[in-house]
Amino acid sequence: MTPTHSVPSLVPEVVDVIRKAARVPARVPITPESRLVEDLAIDSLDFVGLILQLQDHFDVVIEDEAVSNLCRVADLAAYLAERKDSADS
Amino acid sequence: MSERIFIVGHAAVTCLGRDMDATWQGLVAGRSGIRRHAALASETFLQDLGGMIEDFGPGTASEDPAVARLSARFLHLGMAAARAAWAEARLDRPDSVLDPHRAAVVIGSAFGGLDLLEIEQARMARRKSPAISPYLVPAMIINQLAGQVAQHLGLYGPSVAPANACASGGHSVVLGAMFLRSGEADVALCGGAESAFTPPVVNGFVTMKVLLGKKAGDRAEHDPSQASRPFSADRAGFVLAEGAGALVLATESATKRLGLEPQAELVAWSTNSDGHHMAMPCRDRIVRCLSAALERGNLSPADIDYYNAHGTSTVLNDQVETQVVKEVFGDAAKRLPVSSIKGALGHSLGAASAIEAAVAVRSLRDQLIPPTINYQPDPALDLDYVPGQARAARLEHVMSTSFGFGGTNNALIFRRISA
Repeated sequence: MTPTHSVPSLVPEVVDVIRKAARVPARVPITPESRLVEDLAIDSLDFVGLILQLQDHFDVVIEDEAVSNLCRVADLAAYLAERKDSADS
Repeated sequence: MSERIFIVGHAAVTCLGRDMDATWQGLVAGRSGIRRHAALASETFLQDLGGMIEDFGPGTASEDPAVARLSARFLHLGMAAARAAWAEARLDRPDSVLDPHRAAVVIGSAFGGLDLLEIEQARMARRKSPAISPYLVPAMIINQLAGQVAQHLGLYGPSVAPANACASGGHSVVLGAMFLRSGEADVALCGGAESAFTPPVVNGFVTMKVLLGKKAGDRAEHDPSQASRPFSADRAGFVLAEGAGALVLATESATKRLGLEPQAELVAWSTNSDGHHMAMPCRDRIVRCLSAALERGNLSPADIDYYNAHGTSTVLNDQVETQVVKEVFGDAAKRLPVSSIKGALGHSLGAASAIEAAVAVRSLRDQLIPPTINYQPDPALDLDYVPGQARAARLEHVMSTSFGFGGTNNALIFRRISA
């Protein structure tokens, strides 16, 4: 099956949700390589809130087992693209 | 000899105004803050009249960024009142020498963040998994307001949150004063905040027949401002409102040391329990509560110049409270001005008595009694309810009282600061 949701195309949307949900200040750049905890200073409670906001925004379920591997913005975008593809199939 | 306790800051956020000045101006002008609200749609709410503060709080331009993640409305209302009272006391100055470990925070609520519970439950039901916001629990717990005030104003003394239904705000003032008297704090930021416009709460109060329901021919049908009418012959229940009130208390020595300006003195207080019924007031216990406050203040009934009533506009409360005043004040009751500002503000439950305490302080400062609006005489209730228009008077002592479901009462007595 050919993926229909490309990771690069999801990144801006993911960045937008991260900035709003975790209230990352505008002066802090968010790139695909940004690490959520180390670079964006998202604490554990805000991280859980972010995962929930991403689930609501993209209408997918993010499995608990996957969360520990979602360290960078690019990881989130890749996971969400995969989940949306499997939901569409 | 116990230290005297002064009020050095007071504030309110109500349906009549976003701050104390606007609230007070509305009260003395005899205006009502009660409106018909589209948010209280008839499909889910049994009453669409209320005292909501529109365009305020989470998700609006007035959102407090410090508590933005915690979107329960009582937190935003309470933060606004607490910040305003603290600023009015000029304790927010960078050069303040207050020891923050000697500052108590006592702010209560009846229901806390029930509004957010309602919103998050609906969101959870729409999700593919039963996940729920991690901010729900921290935002809805009643003591979070005291916690957030402590965190964002940097106050590290005791913090507690009285949950005593409609008496919560008055109980907060009492507990704050007790912290000062016991030597655990020099300053106490006290208050109450409430926003409980959810279908279960509104409809639950209507079902209990304590909240004004919809009724053809009621004078509020075409004029919502007449919905809340304490002590009136056709009173038919309270009108729900949201809001917050705050007072800053300080010991006399702290007032002098910190260069604070006394606005009134908290002369005496009393709390007790009915031990009687889940919701109905007990006349004899309330009489005892008010009498105890007078005794502790070494005051006679004739010393009280204005009685700021609980005055909910329910049939039973206003009847029982009138009997209580007559019994406690005796002959002096005939000359005692009694008014309820709930006619103008509705009933903001845990916030109400904190707002009323702030109004009592303002009454002493301005030597002015706010009226009971919408009043139509009830032959069975024969006190001077200060109908319709504010009244200038020489006020030396003001008593403010509140009584909560669960049978919990308080009485506060404030004294004017002599020039």
